Amino acid sequence: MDFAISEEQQLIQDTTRAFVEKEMKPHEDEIERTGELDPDVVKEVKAKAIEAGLFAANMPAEVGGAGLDMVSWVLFEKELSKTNYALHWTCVARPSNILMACEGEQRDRYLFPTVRGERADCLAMTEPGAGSDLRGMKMSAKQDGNSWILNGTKHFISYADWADYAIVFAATGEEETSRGPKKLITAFFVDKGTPGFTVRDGYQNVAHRGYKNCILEFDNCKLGSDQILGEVGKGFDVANEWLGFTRLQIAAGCVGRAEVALDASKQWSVERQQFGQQIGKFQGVSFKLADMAMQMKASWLLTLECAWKADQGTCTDMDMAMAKLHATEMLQMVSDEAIQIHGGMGLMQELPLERIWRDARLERIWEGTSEIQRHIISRSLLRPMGG
Amino acid sequence: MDFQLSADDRDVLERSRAFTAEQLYPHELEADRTGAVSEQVLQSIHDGVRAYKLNAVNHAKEHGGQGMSMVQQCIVNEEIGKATNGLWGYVWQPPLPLKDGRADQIEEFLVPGCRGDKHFAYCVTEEGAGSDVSRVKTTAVKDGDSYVINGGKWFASGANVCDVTMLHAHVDGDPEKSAVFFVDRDQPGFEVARQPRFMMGDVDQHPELKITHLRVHKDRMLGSVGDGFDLTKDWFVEVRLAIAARCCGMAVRATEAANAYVAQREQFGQKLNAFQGVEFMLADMAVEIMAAKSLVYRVAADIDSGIDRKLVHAKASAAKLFCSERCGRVVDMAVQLHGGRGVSRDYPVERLYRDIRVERIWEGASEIQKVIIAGQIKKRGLGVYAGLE
Repeated sequence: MDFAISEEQQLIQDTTRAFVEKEMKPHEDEIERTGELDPDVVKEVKAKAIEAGLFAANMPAEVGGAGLDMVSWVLFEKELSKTNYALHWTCVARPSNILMACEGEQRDRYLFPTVRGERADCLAMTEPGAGSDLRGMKMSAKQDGNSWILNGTKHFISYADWADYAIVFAATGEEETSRGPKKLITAFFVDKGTPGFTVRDGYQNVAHRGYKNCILEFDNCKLGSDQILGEVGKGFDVANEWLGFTRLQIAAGCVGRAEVALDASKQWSVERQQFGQQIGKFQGVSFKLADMAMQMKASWLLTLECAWKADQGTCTDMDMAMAKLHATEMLQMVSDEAIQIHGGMGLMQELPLERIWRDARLERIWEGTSEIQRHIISRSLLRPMGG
Repeated sequence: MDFQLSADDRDVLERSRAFTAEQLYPHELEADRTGAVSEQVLQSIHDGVRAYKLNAVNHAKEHGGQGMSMVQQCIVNEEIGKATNGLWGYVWQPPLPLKDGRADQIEEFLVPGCRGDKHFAYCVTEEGAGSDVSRVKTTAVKDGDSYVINGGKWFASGANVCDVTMLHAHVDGDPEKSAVFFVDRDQPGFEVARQPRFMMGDVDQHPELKITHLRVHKDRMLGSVGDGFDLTKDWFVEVRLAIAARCCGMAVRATEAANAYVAQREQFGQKLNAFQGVEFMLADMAVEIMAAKSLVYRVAADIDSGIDRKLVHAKASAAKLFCSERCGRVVDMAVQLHGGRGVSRDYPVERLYRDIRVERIWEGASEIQKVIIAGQIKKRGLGVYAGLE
């Protein structure tokens, strides 16, 4: 067993950290204040990210990405998370791995331009009536000769405002299973500008100022069969093959922001004097710091182990559920205690703590709520026992 | 022991509930988007406060207040506290220590304050002085018939819009000589240095004040030199109980919304409230609320029965600690039960979630309440909290 990271992995961490400090942090306050991303800033930072080799770093080298191993990737994600989410996600995009399922000329229309930063993707699964229960989706695609007609609504779709196209999941039929009929799902590429496809601004969120999720509407939106990603009826297989690791990305990001909160709290605990001594000398404060550091370390080790197992090809659904659940709940606790240690200052928008705390709330909900992760873990425990 | 509401109490409850629904809820989204409400809306809320007889619920009838019992005051605060974005702050409750003023001060400040013609801010906190009030550096020096005050205040809630600020300062910089001064908003030497933005979407700002050679006549001191601590402590005690009651209101509103949502939302072929994970959260939330409300109204009833001031201080801390912590957790669970909708700013639970965080910090952080409670246990014995008598 070896817990050291390689020189190359260290370099990726350092490069990302420096890029965040120099190129992104200076724009943070403006975005937090206005709730908007300035397109000129995005253009400028994105160009620099491409030049630095950080853009699309999650994609394999053979399609133009950086081809990071999973351990390097979580190190990279941990550093990026320390700046505004909308900013890093837009400027240092990590195209969805699902694009690797592109076949033939789809690679030229979608995969390569997205890795080069010429086009941007977004992923549309969630619906008003279908959250974690994706099979409950109402969105349908009906075959009409060589075409498909899409009807329905998606919501909470991140980055649909910036994207040039969406990867949309729709029901294309039903199959009989031992547990009753189940919907068959197919994934489609839908370009912005396709007649019958509209994107509306969605809801403002507690977390991530500048980030918007959108509502996508499909009204008899007609697509050719060359817009199908993967095979008809195999949308879930494509999704399961490529999308599982977003939970590791969340876990790594939570650890990154917990680091920021803990660093600030340590500093404040030795600087701030009340009742004649540094507040860090009070056990009420110092015990909080001990718990914060311990839980953060546990989350990070869990995340690293998952990444290492992913590199070995042995990472399971339960592993990732544990990493996501632990890290998101950990960040909630750490950011909450960081605010408590800072008192009233902690709630001021000029310190990063109130935004880290707000951002943390979303992490326990998206990509499967904490309850869904507990469901996955408990099913993995009981299913082999015949449960 | 009698936990029945009287006919009067019931009337207070119905008025507060109707007022909150009619006059506060409709303006939450505007307040959240813009950080304020229009002059016209403010005027109509003020008219509503008078029409529903909810002005100065914390003061005696002889001064123009409602002469309510503490139980009734808690009922009002629980109900108006359900409104997000600090809109409850428009239901004016002039600081309690005003009643300790001289006859002429009661005429000049408290009576118009109860009518709503004068609004007040109460400023204690400074950059270096949070819960440790002895570290207040704002200093008043006698000069003829006046005091000249220098210093600054942080988190001076409402000081940018109120008519009169009650300023906690130390004469000659000596914590033994604490005093509270009345300062008009437009007085030279009293300025808003900065208005930081905060997590909660309050319509009230919490500015930083700069005080430079502010000249205040000696008659504009509340009480005498050396009274500042006790006056400020009385203010804290009152506000802490109000916070506890408001927290209960927030938790009730969030839980009502969550309960309604999980009863209609279907996933995996059944209503969300058919899953045990959801049922258990609701059960925890309901019991937390029951415990929090029991505590608030028990302490309020104790106060109405005339217990010693020092015990009021001890018990108000317990109520503030418990309600802000537990109700904060209830609101967190309400967000969780709403899933993605829970983090959307269009839903009240999201706003309640941002609003309730500060309740564990201001007017004495949870940790300070624990310091007070532990001190009381040492001084008076555990019975203050654990006894029935």
